[in-house]
Amino acid sequence: MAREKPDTIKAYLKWLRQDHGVSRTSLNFHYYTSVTGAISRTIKNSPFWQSLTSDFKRIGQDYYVKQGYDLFISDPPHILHIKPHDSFIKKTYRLNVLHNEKWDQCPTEGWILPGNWYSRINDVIRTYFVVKYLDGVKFLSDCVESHAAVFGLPYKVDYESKEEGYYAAHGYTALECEVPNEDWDTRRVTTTLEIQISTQLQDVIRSLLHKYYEDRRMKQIEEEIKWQWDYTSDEFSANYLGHILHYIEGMIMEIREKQKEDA
Amino acid sequence: MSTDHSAYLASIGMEEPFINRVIQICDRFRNLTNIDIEDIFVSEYINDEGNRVYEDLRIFASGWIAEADQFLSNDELFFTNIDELQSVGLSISSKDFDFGSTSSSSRLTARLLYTGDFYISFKSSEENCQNLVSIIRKYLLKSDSSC
Repeated sequence: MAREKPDTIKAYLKWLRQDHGVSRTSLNFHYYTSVTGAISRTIKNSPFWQSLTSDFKRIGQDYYVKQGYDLFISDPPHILHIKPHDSFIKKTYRLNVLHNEKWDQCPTEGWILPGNWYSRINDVIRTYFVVKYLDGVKFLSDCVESHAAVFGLPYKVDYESKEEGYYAAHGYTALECEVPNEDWDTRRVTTTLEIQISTQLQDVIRSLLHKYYEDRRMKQIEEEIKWQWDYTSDEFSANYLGHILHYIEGMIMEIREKQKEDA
Repeated sequence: MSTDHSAYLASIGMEEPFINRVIQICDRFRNLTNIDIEDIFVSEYINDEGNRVYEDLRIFASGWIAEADQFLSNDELFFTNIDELQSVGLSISSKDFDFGSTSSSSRLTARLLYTGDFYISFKSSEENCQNLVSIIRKYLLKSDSSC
């Protein structure tokens, strides 16, 4: 019989230390901050990032010439976000425990532990771009892919469409970084930069939806009534708003294309 | 289009896609008229978000001004012979610009008025104000004897 899953983060951290010999240092907030800081600096100074962020103007003008509309609302900020420490630990908890169908055996792709977790967790460093129109999402993703290819970096993109009404492109490229070891020597890790591309309408409700998405991800217990039937819940309104906005964006594209044909 | 013209376009923040569009229009002008282009001017303004919006392209050649309004998305060219057309006047308005050095808040607009309520407008911001001054001196004031 499988042992019980740790049902709190505290229990999970104890399980990591006792069952997998994970050190307190590797779980420590300050150590996490120094590692992710090193990763973030490496990405920021990388030729790929420098090239991409200095090319936004040209990319925007290229889109305008082709489509007759602005790609961006304003100059996109070049910000790299570091996943908060508690979110990072929670994500490893979800992957190792909550959503591990093989519990108490390791998941199909192996345990996510300090030796590999900066490589396995694909959104330790994330950036976020907002475009005006739905077709701008793929256009910008293709441009990012071209830039990655110039520097020999892999790139893959997932066009996310969650039942909670979340729509965005999540692009991933991998870069090699030197990070401090637990003994403060250094080691090389291949880590992923997540590039989220969303539309301005989705951006408006993004933070609203994220709250419900996070709450749902941490739940183990099946709800009595699915949110899709619980029309009195805030989740019902927020999630369907996401779907409606995506539909509206499709309609906007249809009108835009029709105007071009009529012109 | 000459390297000076390309340098001018780059100086007002144009990148390759927009510069190529200007080249395309200039090529069309030359293919039609067989006249060498003397100068070009891009009429533009800064919007509320602080972004430059490129509106119209003006091509100057042998006494002609070819206007390409909304040139980034429009192929139409309108020709005006400024040597032969009777101008009524030249209207100038400026902000934070004394026709000398420019700053980020400098703005200059010019409107060359012709009989029949006909006019050609020019808008500029920041460093492009200097370019518009050159255009005004060389082509507009020279051709507007009533000013």
